[in-house]
Order: sequence, then structure tokens, then C-alpha cells
Amino acid sequence: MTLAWLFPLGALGLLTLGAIVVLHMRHRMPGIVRFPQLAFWPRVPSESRESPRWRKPPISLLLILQLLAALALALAFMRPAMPDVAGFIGQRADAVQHVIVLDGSTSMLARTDDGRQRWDVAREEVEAVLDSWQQGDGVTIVVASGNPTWKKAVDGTQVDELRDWLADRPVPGGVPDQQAVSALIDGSLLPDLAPSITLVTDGGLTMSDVDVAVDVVLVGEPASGGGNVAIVDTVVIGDGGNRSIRATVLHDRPATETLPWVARAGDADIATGTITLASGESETFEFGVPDGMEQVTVSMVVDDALPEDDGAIVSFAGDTLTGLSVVLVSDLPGAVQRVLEVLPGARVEVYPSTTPGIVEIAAGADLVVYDGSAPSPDDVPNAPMLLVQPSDLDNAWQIGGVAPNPEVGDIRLDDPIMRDVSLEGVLFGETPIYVLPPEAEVIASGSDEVATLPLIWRGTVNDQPYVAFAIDPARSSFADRVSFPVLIAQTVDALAGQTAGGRAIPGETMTFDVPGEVLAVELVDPEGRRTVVDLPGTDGATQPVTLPVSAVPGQWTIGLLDASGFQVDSGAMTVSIGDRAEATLSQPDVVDLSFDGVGSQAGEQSSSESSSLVELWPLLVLVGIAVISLEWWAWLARSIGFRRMPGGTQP
Amino acid sequence: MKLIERARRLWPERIGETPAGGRRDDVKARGALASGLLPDEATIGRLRQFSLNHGLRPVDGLVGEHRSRRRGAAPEFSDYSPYTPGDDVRRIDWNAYARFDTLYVRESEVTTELDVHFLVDMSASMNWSGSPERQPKAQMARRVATMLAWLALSRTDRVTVTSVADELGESFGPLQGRAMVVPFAMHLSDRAADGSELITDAMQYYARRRSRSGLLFVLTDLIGVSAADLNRSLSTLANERWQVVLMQIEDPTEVDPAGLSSSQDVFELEDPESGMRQRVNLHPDIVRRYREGRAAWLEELDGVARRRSAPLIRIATDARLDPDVLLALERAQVIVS
Repeated sequence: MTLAWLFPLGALGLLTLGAIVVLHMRHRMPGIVRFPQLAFWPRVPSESRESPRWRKPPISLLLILQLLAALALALAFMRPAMPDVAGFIGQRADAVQHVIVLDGSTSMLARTDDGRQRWDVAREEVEAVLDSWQQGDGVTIVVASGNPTWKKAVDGTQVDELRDWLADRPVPGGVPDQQAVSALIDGSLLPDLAPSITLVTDGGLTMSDVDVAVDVVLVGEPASGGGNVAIVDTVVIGDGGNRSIRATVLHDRPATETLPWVARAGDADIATGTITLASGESETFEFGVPDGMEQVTVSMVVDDALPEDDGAIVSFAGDTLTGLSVVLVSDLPGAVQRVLEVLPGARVEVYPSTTPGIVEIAAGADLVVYDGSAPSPDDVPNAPMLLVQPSDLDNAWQIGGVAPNPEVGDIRLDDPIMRDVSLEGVLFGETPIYVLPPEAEVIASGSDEVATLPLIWRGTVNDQPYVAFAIDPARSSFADRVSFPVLIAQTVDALAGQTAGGRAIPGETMTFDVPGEVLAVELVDPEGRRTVVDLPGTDGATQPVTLPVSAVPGQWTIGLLDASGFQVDSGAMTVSIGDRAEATLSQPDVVDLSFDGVGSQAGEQSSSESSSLVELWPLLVLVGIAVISLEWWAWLARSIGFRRMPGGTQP
Repeated sequence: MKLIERARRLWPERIGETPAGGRRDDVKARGALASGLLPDEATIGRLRQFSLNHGLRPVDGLVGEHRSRRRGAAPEFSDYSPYTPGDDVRRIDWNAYARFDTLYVRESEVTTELDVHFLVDMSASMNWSGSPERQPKAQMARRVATMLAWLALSRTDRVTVTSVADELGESFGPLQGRAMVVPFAMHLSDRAADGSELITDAMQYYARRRSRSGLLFVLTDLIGVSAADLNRSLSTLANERWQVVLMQIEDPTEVDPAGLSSSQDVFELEDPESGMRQRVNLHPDIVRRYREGRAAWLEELDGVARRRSAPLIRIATDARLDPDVLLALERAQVIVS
């Protein structure tokens, strides 16, 4: 630790030390006190008034205190500075740009060993960073979630607002969007301010490849709170009286255990059971749902670190406002239509492939499904697409042949849409062999004697994501298997998940269209927090609205308000926060953030010495003032004895 | 008392003002009260139980209230005695003669008055206090003198007060009647303590100047007075048939000077009378030696006073008139109940 002197000329102030010593070397007249009786006082040996003008420096408390005070002030005048280890006692030499990256992923809901949420502990850490703010500094807080948000402050008032903003925020949840968070950090760094980056996380975020020094503050132990059990997925199978729910449970606890689960509709238990779960594994259980149920909550009965993801809500009631809007383009709707229509909250509109203006029809849809057809290159809808054995689409795929009865080849089981989907033993029948562009991502492939063919793949067309199946449900045995609706449901989730069946995903946004006369949308979460989004309003046409969704599980309500504040319509959505990546607390999936641009320039600045120095002169001035006060007090106490005498004079 | 009560009624709201058309007595009374010399009502109530010790030095007079052992002509009947030639025939009780056929002369009790003198030391050393919270010694002397004067005047004794500063001052008195306590107090309050006359010299001058002896209260701090000085002075006054009561006023800091300064650094003491200075410090050993020297001096003074039958009473400046001072006076039999 080196000490730097920013104003060495201030050393001239040390001359005052000599001056003080010289002043003390002068003889001073002793104090005079009037006292009526001199007769009985013995004479004390003393220096006479005729003694020499100078004397040896008297070592007295007064002299020592004066020298200390002068020394402290002289050193303060030299502006000593040292690295930022003593920031709390000194004033930093240079302003810095604080960038605080706060992990807002779902796992931040987990409890620490003392029962507090990681999120609360993290916010306290952020408060501590905010406390180091000084005039000239900038502060930006980036909350890393599926839909990252940020807020900045450049003065004291704004810093206070920043504190209030943070204090009111629930955990946004979701898996942090690496690119979006990195871009926000990059945009927060300024070329003329040294960066000071603090990453507050439970271990799910890192910054391993950046040039700037990052202060990483870890909150919550990975395996704290007794581990975690979460319902990470629910799939609705069947229709009407044959409807059932399959729930997937992730077990992130050290030992195998058998845990009870319960499914409730309203106040009644409709199913209960137990499930044996191995450490680090996931298992599924399934139960039937009586006809007429609108909403079912399935929960694990367990005490763990993240109780919010112990349950999940499945809503069967379609919501006109937030429900899944599906446009099915099919000349022979069959199994695909049936599966789509039983998706919770889904509204399916079927159009023949010859219908003109599909693009306009699909404008407000959450998903467009082509069953046995494909859009023309000039007629690609502006929405995610699911294509089932599509026809050719130029620049995307072509049918290069037919495989008479391929067998299953490679399957990417880690892909979200393939979770719990088995293609083993499926008779595919005659299957087209699609020729895909290089950027297409094959999820499942098949083969016959002569060729390998893609069975399921994904890609983008005109910037719209799609998933395509080469399998024909009508000709294969796949539609008869439980895996088929599971695959369709998971694919729909992957493509239009945030609006599927009125289900919102924490950390993301919920987007839907509202009538033009609506001027505000009110969102109330299950804990009663109210968010109002103002809209510009349009003349008749619908307008899109995007609402933030945080990790508060339960049913959220949405109200559409007109100009007079009257609620013209309302809707609901459910939030279940179970997520495979976030539920694994012991070995969290790490999102590595990176940034460059201005940030790297700032990083160079941060390596320079001056930016990290903290000036100590305020501390020294304080010491000087304290010593002077002490000296004054000592002098006062000493002189009180003389002042008590009427007619007495000061020594 | 009416004057005092009137003054108290006016105090303190209008003190310092001269009331328009106000009576001169009011102004005087206020002045006396302003100086804080007059005893308060409670103390006066207590004082009524006491009188100056008659055995000290009574003097014949007409209006005194002290009972005398002497018998003579007076309105107050005491006893009969057989007539002897030379007796005043006007004192023969003819009724007794008619009854007993013997001449008897009426004997009356002669009431006496006391000449009470106050010699108050107003040297510069008396204008000193060891603490702002305490009154200077001169003020304490004024208050004690006024209290004793009230006691004497209430018995219609004759009171004379003289202050001693640079020299023996003009005497004020004799005063008689309890209303004169206010002029007495005002006289004292007008006298500033600023002089250096030795009190023992002043006592001798005073005794020689008076044609008639009496009871002499000397209120002083006895600073600068040696045992020899005191002995010489008391001897002179005894020869002149004066009864002397010495009241030594002392400040607690004189008794224990350790609180003079909070440090043990060297400083100079300055005698307020002579202006002489002496370099001292408050080392415990120094303070101890001071106390020992002072105690020896006081012991010598006590010895002289005892030998000369002059009560020597020490009064601290933080003492209360009632009961501290009254108790000390009673214990020394200067006042009796």
C-alpha cells in the first residue's frame, strides 16, 4: 500500500512545527492569582524573572497537542492519497461511474441460512455501494433478469430515488438475458469516468472476460436453505374428461427422498400422491383433472430454500386478453388442432391454406401453425411459427426426397421442447427428406438405409423463429402417443411461451393488444403491488401493450382503463416460477456477462493510479480539529482554576 | 419592622427605581435590602429569641431593656428596704408606713442599656472570595454585623458602627431603636473594602477615642495580625474596660487553597493589600505546609483571645446566618436566649 502526496509543496506547512516549538521556548510570565494570605506559603524554587529569555523546550501536554494538530493540518495540506482501501474515511480523488449489476434471476428468491431472501441481502449490498457515492459520481443499477431493467443517478436526489426504486422492486425472475445485460453494462460506462463495477449475485452471474476489475459480491451459499425442490414444468394431456396434468419435479437436494404432492382446484384437493426423487434428478407424476376445472394448483409439500417454485398453476380458462392466440393454417385439421385447442387458455382459429391475407390475419396472433403447408416467401407472418410437415419454403428448406419409414436417429434431449419426449418405437411412415440451410438447428433426426433426415428442427425466417416437424401426425403413430401433445405443448411454450394460456414467465414481459380507447393498463400482482402503464391511445385500432412480469407466483390481474379511469375490460394471467435452470441452486447455470466498447476504454483508465486513490486530507483535517479541541479543553480546564478567583488573572 | 416590611413588599420588583413621590424611607429600605444585608424574616424570628449577653458590659441608661442587679429609682418596682437617713424622702412608701408603722423606701429595678460597637474591617483583603459562588468576606462581615445590630437595636441598645479601611473611619451612631437597622445597613453597604489598616491598631485607636467603653464586635479576617499584635490590642481594650468579641471571617479557600488552580504549575499569588507577589505552586507538599502554618497562627490567636477573655468566633463566608452563625454566637455565649 503506497502513499502518494498530491501537493508536495504543502510540506512547507511543517515549518509551523518549528514555530510552535520556538514559541514554547520563550519564557512566559506565570499566572497571577490574588490571594489575601501570603504569609504561610513556602517559597518554591523557581526561575526568576531575570532568567534568560529562552529556555529548553518544555515537554508539556499543551506543546504535544499543538504539534500534533499542526502536523495533521500540514500533512492534510500535502493531500496524501492512498489506494481505495480507506474509502470510508477519505474522499476519493476522482469521480467514478458505479455500475451495479444486480442478479435478478429467479434463484434470488431463495432463502439464505438465516431465512432471508438472497434478493434482500443483495439489495443491502447495493445500498452499501450507494453509500460510497460522492458528488460527481454516476451510478447505474442494472437488474439482470430475462427482461433486464436499469436506472441511473447522477446527483444525491437521484441516488435517493434509486434507493426507493430498488426498495420497491420484487425479484424480476427468469434467467438473465446475457446479451441484453451485457449491452446495458456497456451502455452505462462513460469515457470520462473511471468505472467501478460491482456484481451482486448468488453465483449465477459472472464476468470472466472483461478488462475492468469487477467487485463480485456473493449472496447466499449455493446449497443454503436445505436445497431445493421445484415443479419446473406442467403439461396438459388429453381433453375434456380425459384431461390430465403431467408435472415435472426437479430435486436439488443431497439425498433421495419421497415427497408428497397435492393438486388443488379451489379449496378442494383433486389429487394427492408421493414421488420418490433422487438427488439431482427430475421425475414426473401425472394425475387426472375432472372436467370443468378452471384452474389447478399443483404443489410439492416440502420445506426448502425456494418455496416459491414448489408449486405451479395450470389455468384451463381461456382469457381473451392474455390467452394464447393461435392461427392454424390447415386444409385437414386433425391431431394438431386437437392438441392446440386443449392447451390451457388457447384460442385457436383455423384457416385453409388458400385463405388470402394470412399475414394480416396473423398480425395479432401469438403463434401461427402451418399444418401440411408453408407460407410463401413473400407471405411470412410476423409471428412465431410451428410447421408440421411443411411444403417447400424458398431460402429456408426444400423437400429433397422421401424416406419410406425412417428410424429415430440423434435426439437433443437437453432441448426444452424434447423434455420427456420419447420418439423410440414411433412408426413415422413416409417422411419427406428436408434440405435445410446451414443455420437451421436440427433437434431430432432420423435415418433410413440411404439417408439421414431431419425430423425436428428450428430456425428463423424473416427474423421470426420457427420449429418444424417432418413427421406427419396423420400417417405416423406419433399422434397416438403421450409424447405428441407434450412435444406440441413444449414447442408452443418455446415459441410463444410468455403468453401461452395466460401464463406469464417471470423476468419476461407480457405483450398483448388492447383496444385503441384504452389509455392505461393496470397490472396487480398476487401480493397487491400495482403497476400502471400509460398508453398513447389510438383511433379505433388496437395497440400493443407490454407489461413487466416479476417472480411473484400466483394469479395476476390486468385491468384496461379508459380516459376517465373506468375499467373497460379485464384479464388475468398466472405466474409459475419453476424453472429448471434457476431451481438448481447447488450448481447454478452460470450466465457469463461481457462487454466492450467504452467499457474497455474505461477499463484502461481504471488501471491508472490516480483513479483508484482516495484522498486522506479530510481525515487529517478531522484529526487536527479533534486535537485542537482537545488542546482547547485542556487549556480551559487548566485555566478554570485561575478564573475562579475574583480579581485573579490568567496565567 | 414596618419599614422593613414595606421595603420587602417593594422588593424586588421595583428595586432600583425611585418611586415618583415615594417616601424617603422606602428608598432607604430598598437600598438596604438591595445590599442583601438585612436578615430575612425567618432569621429575625429566630433572633427574637435571643439577646446580647447582659453579663458582658451593661451601662446605665433610661430606656435599656437589660435587667440590672443594681437597685435605684425607676418606675419598675422591685422591693422595699428600711429607710435610712440620706434616702430620698420621695421614695418613702407612706402606705406601708401606715400599715407597719415603719418607714420603708421603695426600691425599683434599674433597667440598663448596652453600648454596642461594631468595628468592621474593610481592608482590601476583605474584598476577596475564593469562588464566584461565594460572597466576599466583607459582605459576610456586613451581614453578620447587621444581624447583631438588629439584635441590639431591638433591645434599645445604643449601636455605633465604624469601618476600618486605610484608617479608622468616621463612626456612625449611636443609633437607637430597631428602625435604625436600615441606616446601619446602608452605612455598611456604602463602605467599600479597600484599605490596608491593621485592625488591631484600629481597635486601640477606637478604644482611646471613645469616652465610654462598651461591647465591641470586631469583624475582621485578622490577615496580617500576629498574636503579639492581638495581645497588645486586647490588653489595651481590657484596661479601658471594653468587652471585645472577635469575629474572624474566613473564606474556605483560605482554609484549603488546593482549589486555587487545577494545575500544579507555578503561578504568583498577589496580596490585594500590599500588592506583593509570591511565586507558589499547588504541589501537595506546599499546600500541606501552608495549612500547617496557618493552623499554628490560628492556634496562637486562639490562645491570646482566651487569655484576654475575648471570644474569638470564626465564620466562613459560606455559612448561613441561621443557624450556623447564630449557633456559633450562642455557643460562645455572645447571645443568650
